[in-house]
Amino acid sequence: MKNIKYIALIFLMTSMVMSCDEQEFLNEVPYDFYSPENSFSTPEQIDIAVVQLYARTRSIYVESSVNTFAFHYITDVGFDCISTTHALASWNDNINPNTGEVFWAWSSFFKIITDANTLIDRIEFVEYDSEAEKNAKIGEAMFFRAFAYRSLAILFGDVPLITEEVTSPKRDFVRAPVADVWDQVVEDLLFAEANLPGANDIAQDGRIAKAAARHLLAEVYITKQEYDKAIAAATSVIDDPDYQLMESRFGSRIDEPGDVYWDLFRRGNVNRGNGNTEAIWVSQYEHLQPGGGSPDNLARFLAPLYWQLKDNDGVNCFFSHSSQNGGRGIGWWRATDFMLDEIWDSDNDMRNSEHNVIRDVVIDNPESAYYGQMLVASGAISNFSDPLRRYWSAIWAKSNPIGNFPDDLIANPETGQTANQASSTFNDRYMMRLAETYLLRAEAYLMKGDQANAAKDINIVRARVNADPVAAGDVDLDFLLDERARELFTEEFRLFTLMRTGKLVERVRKHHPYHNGQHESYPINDYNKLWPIPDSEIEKNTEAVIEQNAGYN
Amino acid sequence: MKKTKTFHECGNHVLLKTLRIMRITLFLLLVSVLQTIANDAYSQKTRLSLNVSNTKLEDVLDEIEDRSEFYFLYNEKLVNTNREVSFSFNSQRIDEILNSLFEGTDVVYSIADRKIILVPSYLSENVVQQQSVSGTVTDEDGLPLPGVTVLIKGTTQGTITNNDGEYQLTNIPEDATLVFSFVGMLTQEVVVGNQTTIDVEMVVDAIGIEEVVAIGYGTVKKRDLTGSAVSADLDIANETSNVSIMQALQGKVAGLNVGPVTSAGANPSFSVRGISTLSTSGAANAPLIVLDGIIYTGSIVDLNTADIESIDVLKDVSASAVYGTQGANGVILITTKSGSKQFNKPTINYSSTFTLQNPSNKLEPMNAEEYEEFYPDVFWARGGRLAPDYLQVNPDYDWRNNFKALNINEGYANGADYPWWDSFKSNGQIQSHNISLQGRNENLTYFLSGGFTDQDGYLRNDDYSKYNFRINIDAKVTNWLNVGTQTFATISDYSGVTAGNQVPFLLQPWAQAYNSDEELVPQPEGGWLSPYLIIQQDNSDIRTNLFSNLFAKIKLPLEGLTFETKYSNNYRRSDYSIFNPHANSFQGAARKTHGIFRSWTWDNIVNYTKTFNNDHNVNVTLLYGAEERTNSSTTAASRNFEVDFLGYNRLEAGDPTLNSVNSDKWVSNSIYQMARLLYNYKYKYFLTATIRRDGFSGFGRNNKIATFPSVGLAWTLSEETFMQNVDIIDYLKLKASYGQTGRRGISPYSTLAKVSSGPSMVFGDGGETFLGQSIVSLANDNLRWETTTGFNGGLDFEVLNSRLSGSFDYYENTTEDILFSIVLPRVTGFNSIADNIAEVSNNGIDVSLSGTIVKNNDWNWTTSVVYSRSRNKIESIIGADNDGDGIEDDLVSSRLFIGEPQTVLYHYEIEGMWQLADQENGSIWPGFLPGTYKLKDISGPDGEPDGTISSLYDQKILGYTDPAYRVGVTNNVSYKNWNLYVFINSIQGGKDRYYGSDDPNSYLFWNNADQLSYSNVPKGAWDYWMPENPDAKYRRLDTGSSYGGIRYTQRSFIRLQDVSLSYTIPKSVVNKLTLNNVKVFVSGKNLFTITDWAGWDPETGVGFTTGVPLMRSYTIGLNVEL
Repeated sequence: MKNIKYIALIFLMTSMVMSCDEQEFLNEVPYDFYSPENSFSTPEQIDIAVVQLYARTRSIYVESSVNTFAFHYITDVGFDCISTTHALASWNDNINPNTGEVFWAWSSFFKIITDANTLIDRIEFVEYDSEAEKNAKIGEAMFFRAFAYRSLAILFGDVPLITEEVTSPKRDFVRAPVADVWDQVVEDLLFAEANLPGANDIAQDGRIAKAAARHLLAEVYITKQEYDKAIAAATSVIDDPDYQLMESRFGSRIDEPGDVYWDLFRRGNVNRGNGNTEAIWVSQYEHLQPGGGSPDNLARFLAPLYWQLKDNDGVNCFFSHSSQNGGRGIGWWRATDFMLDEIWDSDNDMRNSEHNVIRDVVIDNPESAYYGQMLVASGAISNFSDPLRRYWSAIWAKSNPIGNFPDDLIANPETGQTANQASSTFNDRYMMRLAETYLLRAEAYLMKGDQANAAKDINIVRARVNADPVAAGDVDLDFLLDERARELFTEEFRLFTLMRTGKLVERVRKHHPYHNGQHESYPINDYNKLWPIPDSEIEKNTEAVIEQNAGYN
Repeated sequence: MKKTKTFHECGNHVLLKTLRIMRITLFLLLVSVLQTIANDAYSQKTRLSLNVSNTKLEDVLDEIEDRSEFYFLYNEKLVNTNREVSFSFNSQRIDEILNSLFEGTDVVYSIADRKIILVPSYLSENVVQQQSVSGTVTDEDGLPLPGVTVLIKGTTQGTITNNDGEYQLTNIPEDATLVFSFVGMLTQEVVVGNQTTIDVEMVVDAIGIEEVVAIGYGTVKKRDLTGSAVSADLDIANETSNVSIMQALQGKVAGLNVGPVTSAGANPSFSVRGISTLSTSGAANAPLIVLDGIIYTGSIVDLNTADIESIDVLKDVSASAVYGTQGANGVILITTKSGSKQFNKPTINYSSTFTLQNPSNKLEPMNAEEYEEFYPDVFWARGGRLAPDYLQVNPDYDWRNNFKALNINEGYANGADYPWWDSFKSNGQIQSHNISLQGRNENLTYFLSGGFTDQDGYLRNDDYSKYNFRINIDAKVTNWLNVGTQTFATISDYSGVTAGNQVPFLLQPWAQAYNSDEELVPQPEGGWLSPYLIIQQDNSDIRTNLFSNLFAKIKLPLEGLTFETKYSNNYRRSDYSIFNPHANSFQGAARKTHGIFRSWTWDNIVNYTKTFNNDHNVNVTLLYGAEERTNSSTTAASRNFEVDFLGYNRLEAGDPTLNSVNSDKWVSNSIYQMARLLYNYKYKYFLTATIRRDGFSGFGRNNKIATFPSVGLAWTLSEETFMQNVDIIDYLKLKASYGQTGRRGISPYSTLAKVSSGPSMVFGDGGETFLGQSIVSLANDNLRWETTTGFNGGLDFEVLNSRLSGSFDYYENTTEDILFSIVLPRVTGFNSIADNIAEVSNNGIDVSLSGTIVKNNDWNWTTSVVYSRSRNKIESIIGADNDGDGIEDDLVSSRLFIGEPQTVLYHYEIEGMWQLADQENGSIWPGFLPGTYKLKDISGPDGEPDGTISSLYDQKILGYTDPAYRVGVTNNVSYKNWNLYVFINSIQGGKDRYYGSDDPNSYLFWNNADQLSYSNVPKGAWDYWMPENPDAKYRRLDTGSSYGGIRYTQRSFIRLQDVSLSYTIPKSVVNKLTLNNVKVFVSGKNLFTITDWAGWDPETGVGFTTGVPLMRSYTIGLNVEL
């Protein structure tokens, strides 16, 4: 009997353990994250994935500071003014296959493409109320895929072309001819154009509408040298009654001194919902709201380090950085002298008005002997050593919420002293604006040899800002590029514009102060017309060869 | 097991062979002996029936042992057990049976509880003596020790002590020497001379033959091991400033690598033998911790060092194979204390230490005067010096224009020299108090303890305190059932925010802490928050750890068969709250995080221990168990407080639109079985065979269950007759083992594809927040464990009367299916994917030597040396051979090279510096500037140097970061009541190993002119390039070339790591105070280091950057037992 008791006990205990089903016990149940299997099954979930494409684009254009600014400061319109050896000072020395900015651009644009691919593949199995609704979502995703491929093709030329979701660890990519990439971009944009809603039918302000696809098509067709198609695409936007240039003053600060060009860039004036009919696509920012995004650091990097200036007596000119003077700039890069001075061809040009390019300010440190005088005009800083003019050049009001920083960044409301974080635009950002559409159509006319129509479009843009009209015979590609700079400085990625028009090397040699002898005579090579493929990408692609761009080996 | 055997003449081992005690541990042996004293009732109550005819006496005795709990102790040479007997008993008492059995012989018996001692009557006290000696043998605690063999040296003549530890010998020659021996005790020899009473106190053999080693789900005698398992020496663990018990193991066990600790309440990093996976991270290589038989995943510092009885390390694959998918990094088995050795005499122990600490080495930032000297050098090329030779200072250049903040201008103008660093560091101190109660009686052993530790670290606010409580109980409920527990609770407090080692170090001396209104300046240098404000953050960081193991042990009716079930729970909480009034532009931010970890483990163990035919010793263990771990946490945070004085306890006071909530949870399950056979023949030939089957929920769905076999063999040569005449060798064992074990490597859910989701967009002005999502990782259904296959060969020896002993182990491990994160082209949208693909091998040797240099009545000096080296080699990574040379390609992007260790430093080789002259004559290469490192042009696209530097062709392996070897030397000298302990630790790099970077340029804040324009630097020692210093060690301050280049230095060091001097107050004194034992000690840690390393400390590897030192400690302590 005693034995039976023991045996029963053991049996009981072991059977309790044994009784649990091994496979069941080892099955893994996620508790706090989503899996692809259950996250792309409803229209709502698909839209969540679409929203991510907007966020990724924003992170490239707005949120990546130093990386993004490379698209400005190594061109004819901007340069790094910290030192002649800082950051990407020299095309020859600093743009190489290991350059961080190069890898960042490559991987960031490809991430948009793979996210779009996933969503385009998976939407097939999602039930929508109507085919149109579904196609609109596909169109939205395809727009972003096209946008990313267009950017990669401009920067790198031939790139791997993938249009399906990556579900296995592929390492055998090869570069597709850039012509194939352009064909894919056009195909995606045509689908997007056909299926995206019109300007007034978008679900929320800031969503992509048909016009965005058309605007981009116009640019892509120019690159493909299909000028008539480019003109048609641009025309379909220009003729769309929903889009008009803003001709008179508008918006939140209409009562303050300024002009319509100044109004275009004020906080709260950029979205269509604010009555702005010129905006085609706007990257969204909402201050201090989850999902509102990081603010654009342009104000910090482009505004001069003025608040450290000392007058001829060695006394600080400014009591601090302040809202009225544009916050806490650090003068990381600035407009070239070409952009700042030489480019302006018309005295009345509103874009160069004292509101929009602030070239002198009042000294506000009571301890300075120059208190109350103008910084530049008084000669107060004539002895200040600032060869690269990092400390003072000009403040560009279009990229600075001057006098209008959010309240939480004002350290002292009485004096206007700002907190250290008062160094961003805190504003929505134009991705596409109707003025550019005119300039794209002008470019297409010009390339087609129709100077007259080109001049007509350019003059529409110039007329709005009171600039004198240009004669048809004076319009050439350089003039067009100058006009783009005048109208779109800090909005367009100048590097892209110069690369796609083939003018990069020439204009850097001419206007970049480290390449034209003003401060340095660094070489820029003909092969620099494209960026190199990141070496790390070539290394990781172990099962096939991604060829390097010529000149970078 | 309990059979007596022939005495033979082999010195120390006489009684070892004689007394075959059924218990396998010395500890339990003592228990049984003590129980003997307690209980004579058994022999009175027990009645036996026996019926034999013409049976050898030996077999009859066996039969009695089988049927009862009695066992016999006797010497075969003295007691004739070969004679045949016939009789029949029916339910008779043992004394009646024995009377019959030995009637008419010269054998007399004595019964002590279950133990029956048989001796010839001429050895017994009945015989009339001419010259006799008598006395009492006691143990260290003064308790009588029965069963001790007392022999006249050189004869077989002798006796065994009785129940009261008394003995008497007669017919003793004049020059006789008595030899006293007992299992687990040091054999003692006493010259008789003219003494008639000789009392002997037996001492436990510290490096005893019968040392017991935990092997996972059981224990064995060290001498029965076939693999490599080592017991750590914890003798002075509580005499030095070890907050974590792992610190006490630093350098003590060959092959166990323990790192240093530089912050309060932290655990050192530790690993066993080589790096068995493709990651050099501490977590990936951390050994499995097993606490009182249960896998423990908590923090080791939560264990009270004073509660720990022993630590055993399973080093080789065959030993750790019993832990399956968690064994590949080695296993550390921690056993806590149980009842005292003394029977019915509870002891109370109080110990206390107090430690003061100061830095063993320091880098100090510059003061204003020094800094002003240095600062303009940063800007020499930016107008600070005059071209072309840049030797003349430019009088027109005002370097103060580089100041980042107006405060700095002001501070400079006011002649500020603020001691930032000194204000945020201080000397450390540690105090600890422990009290414990230990006891043992017939049915209960118990250990209760409480402890308190308080530590103040080097950085201000780096504070730690903990409270430990423990109850260990083992109760014998019936003859066949023991139940008990090991339970502890630890509450630790890590509250307080330090200002870190960066900001207080880097703040320029011109930065002002207070403005003219005596108010704190929020951002003294313009960007960084004032350290004074950082430390004002209100922080509470309380961690609670509850661990309880409940067990029941059942003796089954088949003799030698036991069943044990253990159900263990670990519940850990972390409550972290912080309020930062200065965050969000001084509007405040607060959060509370509650984390809960809970695990349960249920192990069921069946053990069968039996000796067949006297010679075949078998021990079988079967295990079936399961485990579940659950972790969940919740964080609530809010920002922008209107009214903030309630801090984190009123999160709702923040702006409700900015509140945020986070929560997460994971669960993992394991289920496993294990079988182990331990077999030996005559304690000469040993076999260990194990197999473990291990399932883990974290593996990919196609590969949930792993199986790991192992086998080990050992041969004790010294037991062979042909070795008996080799006098010099006392003990020699050869061993070899081979087996497999695993590493999980993957955390829960990492085989599943994940979608990340979060607030991503707000469309329009004043719109609502939209979520965004995308797939962030690829799924992998086949992902599984890593398998390490290993061989271990070695020998253990004792020579020169066991005065020199040691062991030598050689191992070779190969790990396959290593989880490797294959980096993917970013074209895929993913960074990487994990796959079981790589292969790494390790080989190495562990050597331990221990010698008694001096030993006499007053003096005892022992020295031990441990040495280990390990060599790591990558055998395969992803198996790609794209260049078609038949050898797998290196994975340069991940710095992995086939045939090389994974600790390579792969970089450009620095040949020298580019000089101004090179620029003038145009010989400088593109991408370089004067004063930057001149890198070696190793090769080019055509396989030859091409006059330019390329990351693809011009980098090479410069050295390795892992050590060449490690050595620890311990000296222990005792004189009467004094004991001195000295431990020297060393890690050496040899020719090309143990490299690290102490290059200041590689530190972010000293990397370029912009950073240096607002960062203080260490005084002295920075040998940077300047036009007037063309042969500097480091490049120019303001910028490097776009290719960089880093200087590396070897970290080799020799350190006087621990010294402890203790004095045990004589018994005569303490007994008057009604105390049992009083010991006082002083000790020091990290007293002295010899090294070429220029940074903070070679062992911590912190180079020429901001950092914290390794602390030098001085401890005084007291240990009282009553």
